[in-house]
Amino acid sequence: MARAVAEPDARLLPGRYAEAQERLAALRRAIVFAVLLMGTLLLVWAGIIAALDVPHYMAPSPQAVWGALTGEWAVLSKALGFTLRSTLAGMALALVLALVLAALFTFSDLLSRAFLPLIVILRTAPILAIAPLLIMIFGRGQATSVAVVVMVSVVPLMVNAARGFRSAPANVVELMHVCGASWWQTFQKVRLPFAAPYVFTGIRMAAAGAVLSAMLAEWLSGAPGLGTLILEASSFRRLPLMWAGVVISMAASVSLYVVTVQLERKMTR
Amino acid sequence: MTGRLLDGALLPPALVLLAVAVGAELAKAAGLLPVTVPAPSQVLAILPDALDDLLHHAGRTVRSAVTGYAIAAGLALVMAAVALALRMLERPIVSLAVLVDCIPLIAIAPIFVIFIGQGPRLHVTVAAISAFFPLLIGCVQGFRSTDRNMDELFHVIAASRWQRLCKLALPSALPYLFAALKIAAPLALLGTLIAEWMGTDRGLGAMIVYALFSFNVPLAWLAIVTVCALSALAYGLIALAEQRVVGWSRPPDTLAGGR
Amino acid sequence: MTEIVLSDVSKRFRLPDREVTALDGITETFRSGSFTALIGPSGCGKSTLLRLIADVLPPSTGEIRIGNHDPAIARRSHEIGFVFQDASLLPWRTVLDNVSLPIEVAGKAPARDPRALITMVGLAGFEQARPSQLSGGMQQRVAIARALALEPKVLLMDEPFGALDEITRQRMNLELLDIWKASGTTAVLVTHSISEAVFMADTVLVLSANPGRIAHRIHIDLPRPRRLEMMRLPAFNAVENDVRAALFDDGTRVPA
Repeated sequence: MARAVAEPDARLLPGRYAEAQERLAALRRAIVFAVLLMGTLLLVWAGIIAALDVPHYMAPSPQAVWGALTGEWAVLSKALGFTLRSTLAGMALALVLALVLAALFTFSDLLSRAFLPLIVILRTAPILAIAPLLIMIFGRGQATSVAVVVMVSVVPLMVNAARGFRSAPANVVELMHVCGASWWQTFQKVRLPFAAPYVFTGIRMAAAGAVLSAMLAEWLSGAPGLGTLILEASSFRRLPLMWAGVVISMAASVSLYVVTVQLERKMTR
Repeated sequence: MTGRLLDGALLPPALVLLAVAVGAELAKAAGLLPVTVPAPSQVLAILPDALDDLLHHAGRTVRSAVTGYAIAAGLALVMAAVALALRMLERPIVSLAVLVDCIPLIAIAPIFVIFIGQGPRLHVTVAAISAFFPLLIGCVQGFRSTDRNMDELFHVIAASRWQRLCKLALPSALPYLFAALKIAAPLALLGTLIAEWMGTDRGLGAMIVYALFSFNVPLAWLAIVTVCALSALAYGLIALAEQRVVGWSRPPDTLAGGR
Repeated sequence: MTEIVLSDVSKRFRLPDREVTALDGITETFRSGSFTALIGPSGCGKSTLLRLIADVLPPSTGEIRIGNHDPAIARRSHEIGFVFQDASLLPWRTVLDNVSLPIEVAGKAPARDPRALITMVGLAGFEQARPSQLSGGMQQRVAIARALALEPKVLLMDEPFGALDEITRQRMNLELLDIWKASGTTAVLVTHSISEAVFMADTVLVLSANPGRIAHRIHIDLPRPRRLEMMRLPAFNAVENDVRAALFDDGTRVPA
């Protein structure tokens, strides 16, 4: 205890709350840092283009990107909407699937022993690599994007949910058993509340890759989202539009991540 | 060690995989699967003809992925060591890495095409970028993970900075390094694949794109199964090395943000 | 001769929102070769006091001398042995390598043969074992052997047996007394256990909290060598009661 007084060090606090908080703080610093960095880069960039008279098909000026951002907002926002719909639908579907599967694993030890190792392996597999297969199966529409997001999100969601359901202390579960509670009552009154923070951790982890996955699916399938927009803008050398797409996708990715970290923070408090 | 690993960890999922394969075979025979999902036997049937092609493409992909992975690991280790030596640099370094990790790879890949052009250099670069973040975080966390009591112990026995690094910080960090190496290996492979999808004539990514556009269903499955097998192989090799080197440690529950 | 002298030592910690005085006006002499126990409520700063002596933390005011030197000098000349509450062994090293660590770091010929030390703490045959293969009591013995590796003139122990069961703890107490007697070091033991403090020490210092001060000094006049049977003697119980009364002195005296 004396040492705890000696140097209070937030990094040593255990638990996901501290981790999430640290991530958020790191992110905040990153954003401030990024704004400064980008501001400098923008100035240098604009300066170089103005000074050397770089042709616009090599590299667009920041003004040109801003122009694309405002001028083509209709196109961009439509693509963004498509990508975000795929992302959110995929995550929602994955969440339901993950909760059901994790509950099944909690219900049956046999199922858990047979499938959990596979899921642990899946967690390490480059899941995005199977996106082309999903395109074959689901076609070139939004279904593929949703399917890719589901595939990528379901693993971290399920691993965390399963861990959460198992995090209920054995004593409390035994207490419920002694009280004559049914499996469902125990699940609903004990396991689910104990699992909630873990589930939100899973959502945060899934969110980190979800926008990227949706964009990759569009990119391969040609569905009209941000991924396709960036690719097409790039191949038609419409660089201002491409950069505008990049900026918007980054903003979307970071915003979703920040929202989920905040959500996790609220839930684990 | 190897025998136990086989019995303990790999056998149950192997059985499940076998069951899935048999099930798919039966379902296909019964006409329950769409044309886009082939029976395992159909995939195996094209293997003899496609083998040369497969090796030709896989060789390039593996080389790009391994090179990118090695570059990322070296860079991460150096940056983490700098962060360890100069504590004031730790936050900017980690912040920069978080930022880079927030940029969708798809978004920056076309930009790299403009600057580096197509070809192996692009593949290596993208592989390195996708593997870098977990590696850096693993290294930084590892160097940070030193137990405080042990820090005090090394202080009380008047150890030098160098002795602390070699005898305390590095061994303490090893479990985290291995955890990061395991997570980063599939990411490097995926990064290579994504870069190859952007256009190349050689590599598993090229093979997949070709199969996709010519609607050669068994070939697409074969290529993707190969990617997954390569990834599992890389993971397994690192896990084996981990058991050898840091068998004394329980794997740290870390890198919660890895995907 | 290695006396530890503390003159008017205080320690304050700056927290983000306030300043905490952990120790205030500590003046005490630990005689050379003596055994002193520090006991007190949680937060009385007894672990902090140990860390001040070990030069882990600097005192805010006052002066500490170990054998007429600054603690930093004593530490750099490897005169201090420290035992933590948890064994704090390096998990990647064998028992032998853990005990040898201070010798490696000091880079001088071993003052004591590490193997002999391992035998002394009763772990002969476990030289090549890893810490994870040992029980808590065995790990703590390794930690003690490690602390003794350079024949320290001062042995500081921070609740070394706090995590052990009562039976192991008493056995370790006896062994530690033997080791201390043979080595002639000046020992300071932080403990939560009244009976342990009385059984081990020549002097029990009772600290009070907020701020940490030495509230009572109780001299233990039991003969040495101490034996477990003594714990049943009325004299032993009487001293125990003295310590207990001193501990609960601040406001909440409990009738015996």
